Amino acid sequence: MSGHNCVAIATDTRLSTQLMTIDTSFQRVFKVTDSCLMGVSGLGTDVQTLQLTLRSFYFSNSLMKFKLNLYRLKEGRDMKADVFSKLVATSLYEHRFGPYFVSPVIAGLDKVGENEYSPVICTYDSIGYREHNGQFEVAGTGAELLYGVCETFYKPNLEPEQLFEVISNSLLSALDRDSLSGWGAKVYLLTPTELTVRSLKTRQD
Amino acid sequence: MDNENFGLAKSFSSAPVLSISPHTNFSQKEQTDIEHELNEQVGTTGEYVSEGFCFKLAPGQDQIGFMRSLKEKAPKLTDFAKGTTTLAFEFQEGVLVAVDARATMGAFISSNNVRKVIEINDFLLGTMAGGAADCMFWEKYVAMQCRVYELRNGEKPSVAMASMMLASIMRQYRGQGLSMGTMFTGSDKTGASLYYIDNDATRVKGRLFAVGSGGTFAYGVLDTNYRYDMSLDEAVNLGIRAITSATFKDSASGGVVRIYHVTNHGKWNLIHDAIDVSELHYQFEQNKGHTGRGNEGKPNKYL
Amino acid sequence: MELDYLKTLPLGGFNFDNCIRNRAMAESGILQAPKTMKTGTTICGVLFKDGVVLAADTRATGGSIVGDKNCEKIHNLAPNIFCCGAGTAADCDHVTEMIKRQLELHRLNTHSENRVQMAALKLVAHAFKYGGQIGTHLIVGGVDVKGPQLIECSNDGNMYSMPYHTTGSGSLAAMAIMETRYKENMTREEAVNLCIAAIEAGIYHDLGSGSNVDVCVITRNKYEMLRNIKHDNFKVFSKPGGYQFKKDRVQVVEEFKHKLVVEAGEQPMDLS
Repeated sequence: MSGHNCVAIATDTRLSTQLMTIDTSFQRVFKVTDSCLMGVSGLGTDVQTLQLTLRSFYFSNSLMKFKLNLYRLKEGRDMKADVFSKLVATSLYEHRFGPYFVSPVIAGLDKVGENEYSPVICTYDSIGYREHNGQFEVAGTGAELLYGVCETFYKPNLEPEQLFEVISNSLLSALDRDSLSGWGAKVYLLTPTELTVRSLKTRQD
Repeated sequence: MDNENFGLAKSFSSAPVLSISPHTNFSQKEQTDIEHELNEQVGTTGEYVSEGFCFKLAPGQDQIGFMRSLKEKAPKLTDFAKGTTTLAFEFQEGVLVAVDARATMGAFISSNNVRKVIEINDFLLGTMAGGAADCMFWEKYVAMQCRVYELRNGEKPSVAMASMMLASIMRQYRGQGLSMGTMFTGSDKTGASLYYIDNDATRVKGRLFAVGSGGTFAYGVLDTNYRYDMSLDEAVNLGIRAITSATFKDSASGGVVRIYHVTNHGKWNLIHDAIDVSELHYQFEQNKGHTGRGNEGKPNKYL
Repeated sequence: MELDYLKTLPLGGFNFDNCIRNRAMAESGILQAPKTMKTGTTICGVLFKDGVVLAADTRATGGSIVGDKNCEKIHNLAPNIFCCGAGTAADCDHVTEMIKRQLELHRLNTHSENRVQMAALKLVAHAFKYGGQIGTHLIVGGVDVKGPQLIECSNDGNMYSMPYHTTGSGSLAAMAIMETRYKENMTREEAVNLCIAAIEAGIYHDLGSGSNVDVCVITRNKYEMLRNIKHDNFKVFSKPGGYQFKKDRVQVVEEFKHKLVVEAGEQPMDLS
């Protein structure tokens, strides 16, 4: 979700096989650059293949981390959120006929002027269609439930703390109706100067 | 299976089975050979024909074949909500029944406050797993037959007999698409007893059952802590504990815990109507010194 | 050498690494392939006196869910060529993007305007190469040295040129309007109105199409992108002032703060 000079990603922290919960503190959201966050939902193995964890040492094939580092070496700067969002789209489209079973969400802030930032909010289907309307995007098993609540609760140009309230309430409402999500939730709130991560108390069933 | 009860119950179950069979409302042409044989065995007129209902079966002749091809062609159509954790066990003071309260349609939670214990009458309880409508309908039907028996004979039927009625109905409709996994429990002259009955017409008398998608997780807790000589308090706590840990691991179970106690003296009591499992989880974890979020021993990793 | 691995980097094109894994997973029933976004579309194009009008609805669907209520289905291929896309959303986006790059290179190499014929042929050649597996149903329109042109390119590699085209799930509704109201040598005004009427027929009579109408008018040396020229279906329901939430509903159990370095200095070239 985007606000005025801020963006946020909210996610649950559950990892499961079918109906059985495996992990209740699975990390799905990663900091790509200082201006961009990426949340990946979907098949656990593909999430980790795509992800950008700092422990990329263990996951030698963490795809996006590799591409980011290569870009940094070539260009001598961090990728802009908007550029990164397109890179993710092409990376997914590359696997058009054997897709990764993921649907990532990207939230970033690109500087467009003095104290002025344009939010980058987009989501993808598994083969790289980039969906972006600048307001909110949803992905994952609870996506259909989230569409409804976000549509109702979202207002444009929210300040960071208001955005936190709206996104948290939207997520919690959807979690209570989706049996495959829950078991803890995290909200990542990105402003130009600070990244705030908050763990929310959720139902554990 | 105990043969004494089998013989007794069979004579009762045959009557209701006949009266609800499609025979009374369908023309002779639509009967299958199986039904003909069955009717010949039990006679052509039922003893109690008072219900005035009948299942609408599939057009054509072969309901079993129809269901089989339906399962192939549209697997989801016959796939009723199955996510559940229900458990029941015998102990020295009777039978304890504990259930969760979540109803799901696929991943969607349609309710977190469902009643999965069916109060059949004042001495019988049945739990609900599989198709809710099938469980509810047939257990209520058994309630009616029990009442008829009581009026006719001046005494309540035994739990063994009542459970056999249900099992016989399941036998009659086997393969025709009913979905039911129930723990049938109640209290009669001989004390409380517990049966497991399902839509394959399995009927097992037993000491400890857990049914549903969360059943395996509940068994873990039950088998570890179960003793026959528990007090009621201990048994209630065990039931709560087992349901809570099952709802935690199993995403199709959740909501609240409901606990029933079937005494040895012909009654059942509702012990807990609705305890929120999420609050229970946090409470149990805090007793262990944990946060309840499962992050013990993990680094505070957020990026 | 230590950097030898650079030689093993993928050089572009499709990657089929996951195919066998995915098929195995689907067969064993572990996981079904997730639904991809379709455009579920009504798109149309019309030739008029001195140019081409392209029009599209703006709904993207995944199954029965409307994923994007205001997506862009008119893609730019060159300054004088545009293209409407129906079919698999990702394919339309990426294929047109790729062809756009090729045309630009061609333009720079030859110092000449791209021809519509060439753009369409490139699209069709790409689609044909993959035997119809790439779900692109496109209407390419543009004005080049040969005048205004309109070409439809199917996913199976077929292309044909006609004075008016409709494609997508709402094409029948749109074609009905086209067949009754098209005439030769229309004015710009007439052509735009015809396109809007055709797309609206798709929006209102086809469930896969919806939301707003986008129109693009291409004439010699000039194009005009009229986004959301009709927007009767904008969101009308929202509570003025928004919703207030109970304070205790969201309970924060932990909080981390992470200071970010505010980057200064000018940014190098933007390649996006």
